[in-house]
Amino acid sequence: MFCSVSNRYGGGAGEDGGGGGGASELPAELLDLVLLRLPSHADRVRLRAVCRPWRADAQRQALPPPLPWLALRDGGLVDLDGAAVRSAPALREGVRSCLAVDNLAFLVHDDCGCSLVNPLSGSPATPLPHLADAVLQAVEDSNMRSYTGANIQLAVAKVILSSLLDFPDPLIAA
Amino acid sequence: MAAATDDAGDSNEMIRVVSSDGEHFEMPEAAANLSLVLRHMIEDDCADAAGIPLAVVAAKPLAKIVDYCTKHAAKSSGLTIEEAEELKRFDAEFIEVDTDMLYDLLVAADFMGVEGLSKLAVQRTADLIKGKTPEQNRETFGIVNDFTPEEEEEICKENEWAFQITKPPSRLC
Repeated sequence: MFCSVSNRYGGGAGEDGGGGGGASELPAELLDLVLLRLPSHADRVRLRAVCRPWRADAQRQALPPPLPWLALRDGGLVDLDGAAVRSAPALREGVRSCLAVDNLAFLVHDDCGCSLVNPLSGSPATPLPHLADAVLQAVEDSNMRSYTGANIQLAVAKVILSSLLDFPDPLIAA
Repeated sequence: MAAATDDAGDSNEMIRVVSSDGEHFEMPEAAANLSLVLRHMIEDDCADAAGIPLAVVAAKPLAKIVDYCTKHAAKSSGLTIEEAEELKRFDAEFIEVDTDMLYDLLVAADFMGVEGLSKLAVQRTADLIKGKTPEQNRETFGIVNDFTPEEEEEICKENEWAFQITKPPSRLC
């Protein structure tokens, strides 16, 4: 039913109900109401890429903050709405833990090495210096505890990037 | 329409409305009061036998809106849990419409100020958009891609990851 393509855009089809528009000509205030019900960063980004009117309307509202994704044991990623983001095989191989936000995943490998990857584009990992033992322990602890839920005294690990990973030689602090 | 008038609320008064394409509809006053615009017209004594003209609402969406208001007006107060659930089921079935009708309902409910229906249609639209690629959304809503290939490429680069739910087809998004 939803795939019945009856293009009313510029077609002026039979009904004169909504002023002859079509979804691309949805009045801005109505699209705003729809946007309020699309809290996912990904949905909002994709909505902006549908057509010019939607892009212009949607750009008037700031994007919601990207929320962390959940990495599943089978290597998949889901957003907090439970929608699959995309399978990310990089997360499966010899990776001990992973923190992912937006298009960036911070990986701790079995050999205690660390790297940053874009889990979606499959870009090659950017190796990082080995973490100091204490930091590594903190990351481990935070993961352990988040699973048991028994202890909320989490260690916070933060990675700061000076630029996108796509740029040559980004500055990274952990 | 006739069936919709059976379970009227406490008011016996019937309100007539006329669609943009000249069709006449009737609904109980309690149902018409769910529309802000109609309520104001009734209060201003503009509701006469000729019917209130709704210049931008065609017969098809208006018939649906009359159904919606009549159902909700009849069940508006002192709902039991079963009745509330029944109303919820009614809403869910009511809004299972094609995207042309959904668009008409969105615009008409907003124009007529039928708050409950407006929310229902907005939520339905958001649910249809959720989790879809731009191309899938264009198909769903019958929208023409009016970006130039250069613009499209630029848009895709902004948030590359968001467009990779499925393998991109020939064009980037």
